[in-house]
Amino acid sequence: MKARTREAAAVAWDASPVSTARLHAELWNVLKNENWCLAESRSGSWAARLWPATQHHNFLGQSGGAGVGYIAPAAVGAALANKDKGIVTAVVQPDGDLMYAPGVLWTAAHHRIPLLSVMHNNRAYHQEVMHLQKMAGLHNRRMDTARIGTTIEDPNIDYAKLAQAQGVWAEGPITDPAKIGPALQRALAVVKKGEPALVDVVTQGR
Amino acid sequence: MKWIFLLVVGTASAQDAPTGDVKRGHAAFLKYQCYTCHGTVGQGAERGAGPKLAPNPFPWAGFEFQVRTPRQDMPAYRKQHLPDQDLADIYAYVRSIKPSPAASAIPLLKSD
Repeated sequence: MKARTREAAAVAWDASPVSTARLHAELWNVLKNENWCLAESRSGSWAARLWPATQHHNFLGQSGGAGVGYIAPAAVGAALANKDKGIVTAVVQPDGDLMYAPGVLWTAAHHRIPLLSVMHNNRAYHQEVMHLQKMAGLHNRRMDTARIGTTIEDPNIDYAKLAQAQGVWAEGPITDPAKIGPALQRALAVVKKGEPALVDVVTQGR
Repeated sequence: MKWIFLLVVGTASAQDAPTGDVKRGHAAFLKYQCYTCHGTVGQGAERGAGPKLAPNPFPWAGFEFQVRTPRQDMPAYRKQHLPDQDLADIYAYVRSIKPSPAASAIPLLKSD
C-alpha cells in the first residue's frame, strides 16, 4: 500500500456516516488472512487501492455496463462457485443495488451459500444523485432538487431486518465506525461455518 | 525571495476570504449537497466522484472560481441558486475542518 493511499484513507477516518475508505479497511482486516474473493470490484475503488491482490480470483470485476442490480445476485453466484474451493467470498453491497433483487438473500440462506455482505448503505441511488446535480448545473437549475426520486430514505430501509427476515444472519445499521470491526468478525465466523451473513453500515455517498 | 512571495500570497488569500459562519456553512454544505461528491467532512470520494477539499482548502479566489465556473465534472453553482453569503459560509466551514489522524497512527492502515 502506497504511503499516499494510506494518508488518503485516513482522512475522515472517524466520520459518521462511515467513510468508504474506512469501510474497506475494516473489511480487509477480516479478509487478509483468508483465501479471499471480492465478488464485485472496480478500478479506482478503495478495494483496488488498499487491498493487495495476488490471486486471479481476488477481484471478479463488475457488470460491464454500470447496471444497477447486478451486484447482489452476482455475489451470491460467486459465493456458490467459491463454496467448495475454500475461498471466502465478500461483497461491498450498495443499498440501491440490493433492492433490485433482495430475494437473493433468501436464496443464499436456503442453499447455505457462505457470502459476507457488507452494506455500502448511502441511502440513495447515489450515482443518480450526482448525475442529476450535474444536469441541474448544466441547465441552470437548483441543485437541492437532485435528491427527489434518487434517495432511499424516509423511511430508511433496515437491511439487517431485511436479511434476517429471509434467514440470513445480520447486524446493523452501524453508524459508529468503531463498531464495524467486531461486527465483521462475528459475520466472518458465520460465513466460515457455511452460512451467509450481512452487516449493514451507513456510509458516505461514495 | 520565493518564501516571501508565498507568504504574501497566503496572507492576501486569507484576507480576501469573506466573513462566513462555520455553523451556517456546515448546514449550507449539506443543503447544497456539496457532500454528495466531496463527503460530509470534505474528504473526497472514491472512483472520481469529487476531490478532497479539506483540511487546508485552496485559497478563496480559486474556491469561488471553481464553484461558479467549474472545471471538469462539477456542476456550476450560480448566484441565483447559491448566494454569495452562503458560499462564504461554506468556505468558512471547509476551512474549519480539522485534519484527521495520521495514517501512521491508525493500526488498520499500517498492515498490507
